[in-house]
Amino acid sequence: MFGKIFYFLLSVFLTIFILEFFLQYSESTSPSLSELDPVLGTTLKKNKAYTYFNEGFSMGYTNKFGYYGPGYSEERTNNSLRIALMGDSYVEGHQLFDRNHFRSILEREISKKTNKKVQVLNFGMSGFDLNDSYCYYMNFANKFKPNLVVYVLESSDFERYSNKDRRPTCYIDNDSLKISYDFRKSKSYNFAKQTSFIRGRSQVIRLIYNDFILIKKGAWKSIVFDKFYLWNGSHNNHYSNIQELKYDLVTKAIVKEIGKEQNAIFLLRDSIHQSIKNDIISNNIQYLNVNDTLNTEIKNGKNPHYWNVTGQLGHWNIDANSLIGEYLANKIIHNLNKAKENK
Amino acid sequence: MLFNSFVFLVFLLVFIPAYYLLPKKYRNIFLLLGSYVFYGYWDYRFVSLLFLSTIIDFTIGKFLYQALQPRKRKLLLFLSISANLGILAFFKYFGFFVQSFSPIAAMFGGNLDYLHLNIILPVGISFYTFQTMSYTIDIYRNSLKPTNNFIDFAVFVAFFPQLVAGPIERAKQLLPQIINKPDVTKIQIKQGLNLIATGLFKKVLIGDTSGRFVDHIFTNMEIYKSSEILFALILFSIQIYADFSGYSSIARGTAKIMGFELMKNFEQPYLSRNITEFWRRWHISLSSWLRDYLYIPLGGNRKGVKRTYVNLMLTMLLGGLWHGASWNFVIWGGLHGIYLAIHKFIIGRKRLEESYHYKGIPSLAKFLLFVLTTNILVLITWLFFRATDFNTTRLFFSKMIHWEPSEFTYRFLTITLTFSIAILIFDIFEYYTKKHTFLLLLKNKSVAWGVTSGLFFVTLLYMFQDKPLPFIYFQF
Repeated sequence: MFGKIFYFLLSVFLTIFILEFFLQYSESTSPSLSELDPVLGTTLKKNKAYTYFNEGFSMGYTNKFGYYGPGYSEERTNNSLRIALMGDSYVEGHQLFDRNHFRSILEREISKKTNKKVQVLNFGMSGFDLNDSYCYYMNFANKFKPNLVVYVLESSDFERYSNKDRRPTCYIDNDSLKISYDFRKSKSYNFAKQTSFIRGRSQVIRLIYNDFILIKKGAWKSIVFDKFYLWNGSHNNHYSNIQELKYDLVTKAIVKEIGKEQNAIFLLRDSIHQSIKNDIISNNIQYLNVNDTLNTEIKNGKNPHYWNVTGQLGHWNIDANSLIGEYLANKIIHNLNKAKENK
Repeated sequence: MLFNSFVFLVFLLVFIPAYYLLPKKYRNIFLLLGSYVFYGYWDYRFVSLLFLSTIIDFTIGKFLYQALQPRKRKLLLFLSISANLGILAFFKYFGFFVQSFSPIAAMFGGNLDYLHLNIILPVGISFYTFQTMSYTIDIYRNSLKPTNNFIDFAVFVAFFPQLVAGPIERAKQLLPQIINKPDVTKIQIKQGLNLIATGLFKKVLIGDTSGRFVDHIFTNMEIYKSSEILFALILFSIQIYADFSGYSSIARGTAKIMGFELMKNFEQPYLSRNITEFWRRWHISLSSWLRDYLYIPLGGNRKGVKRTYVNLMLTMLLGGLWHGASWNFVIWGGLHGIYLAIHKFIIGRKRLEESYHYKGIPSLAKFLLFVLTTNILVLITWLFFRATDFNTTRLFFSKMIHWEPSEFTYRFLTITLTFSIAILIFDIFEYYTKKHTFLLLLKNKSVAWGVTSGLFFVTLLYMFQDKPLPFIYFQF
């Protein structure tokens, strides 16, 4: 009996072990791209290949410096224009190839139209709000000395809502803006750090972990019973009313700091409360809204969030990325020309 | 209900024990109700269509058996075929013909726009239509006695394991089993569970995962580079095989755990040495149906060489059209018809060896060369099968001619090789053991069940977080 159980368990284990290789080499499951850093919190692994299937499909690598797109080193040549893109999953772009992402289009368009050497660096990270993007810029992106920083934001990003258990966060101390690294003490950070070795390497463990999260959320009922159980997922409508936004003192200070220290553009994905807009403009930050360009698509009956292969709504689709890249490129070229005239 | 969904597994967990517990006389009515629930889960309205088809063939079958006059028999057969093909034509081909004839009508000043009805295609209509047609044709040929029990016949039409995508069973094979209500044996349960586990693995972890690459690349071909598109085509050849053979294994496995035996639908087609062998190994239930009910009635190879080629072409063209209402499927069938005709011309009346046996390195090299050539020929036809329209096909060839290098070539190569090896491992074992349940041949049964459980466990883990994708052949 013992022998039978032993052989059974051994063959189960060996089968799973072989399937681990299958999952990794067939790129059937999305890899873990993030790792934990005592300064940056959640950050990207370097030189890591990834394939993602969601509403879209993306395949790519993180570069040797730990951000998306071509790996431009920390040194910047004097005559080049370097743009850093900061923001959440819209910037990260796990739905499309880098060549179709607005990062590439922006780079291509400005190079083509100005004959300048342009380098656009993608520092997007899923779930980042303005606070996270600012900390990430201060701790990491600014090492690459960008001439221009583009923050892609939505109204809710002005309220610090994302989980800071694994990320640094800003606070005000004696009227000055500081970054706290208290996340290092959090249980979540330490647990994730201790288990990252196995979670980051095994696809089967990742599958188990992700299933566990779905079970914890209660989604298992709809998965198992399908039409017999209509699961109402927890949709976050918390930020639907921009009037209710808590534009707190810390975020206000972040905007002020960005206006003071950086040549920045805020590219907004949705409407924003007039008071915040005024604050952005008064801090010498250029305010742009993607709706200016995406509305023409919508008027033509195309939904910029619709993905034709999966039939899902989600992040900007390929056409929208192309439009945004061109729109942003035109705005930046306009700024460059204006600056030249002023000189 | 999709075989690769948890709700189907729940359905099985409830249905199968209840089926065993019921007295034999109630089993068929229970099986019929279960089959209608299974089918109606997509769209309950189409159960009525299934029921209509059942009534037509049951009634005609009875009258046909009683009729003695050849004219009356022919008329009844014509009635059955017209009714079945009429339903099929309306739901599947009406839009296609309207679309195809619109330009001709426009040339004469006509407008067929009012005929665009946006008809929804009932799942599996081609499969159950062909199955019921074979019933009346067999009665007409006096090779089958009709059943007098409507429930038994209705179960034959709606038998849920093979209702929506085959294998297309013959009444001679399935109906006696339904009438006799077989007791399930231990070995059937073991084989059934093994087939379900391996079938699910093939469908979910090979078919669906490779299919995601294919779907994205074929739908937006213009944004992908040449090598990516080429690998997507190879991945499609893996996807369609894993998807359909996986489905067939689950169908056979599900039937087995109720005591029923269904025919094999696949016999390692990608290990075929020529196109004729390929068609003996690919979608066997359809190719044998087309042979018995179309090619042979057309005259087969009995009416001279030229007529043989014409019959072959006609069979394959109609076989292509059976798959879907699109000219791409017609081309797919046509290409296979040309291949088969050329191969027939080359081999003449020589009989083909059933399977390969190792006779040294040169014979193995020859085998591999022939297998590779057959796969390349089949691969070309898959392009027409997967591309939804001529524009996609044209774009594919344009991208192949104007080659654009991709930074992801090596990764796509690795991905394609991984999927190929995975499916090949199954095929090689099945080829040599001639059994889809080859794992059960292992002396150490603990190892056999350990491997089966490992495959099943990882498949379930994956299924849990990924929305189940429908089987490709459901659309036919």
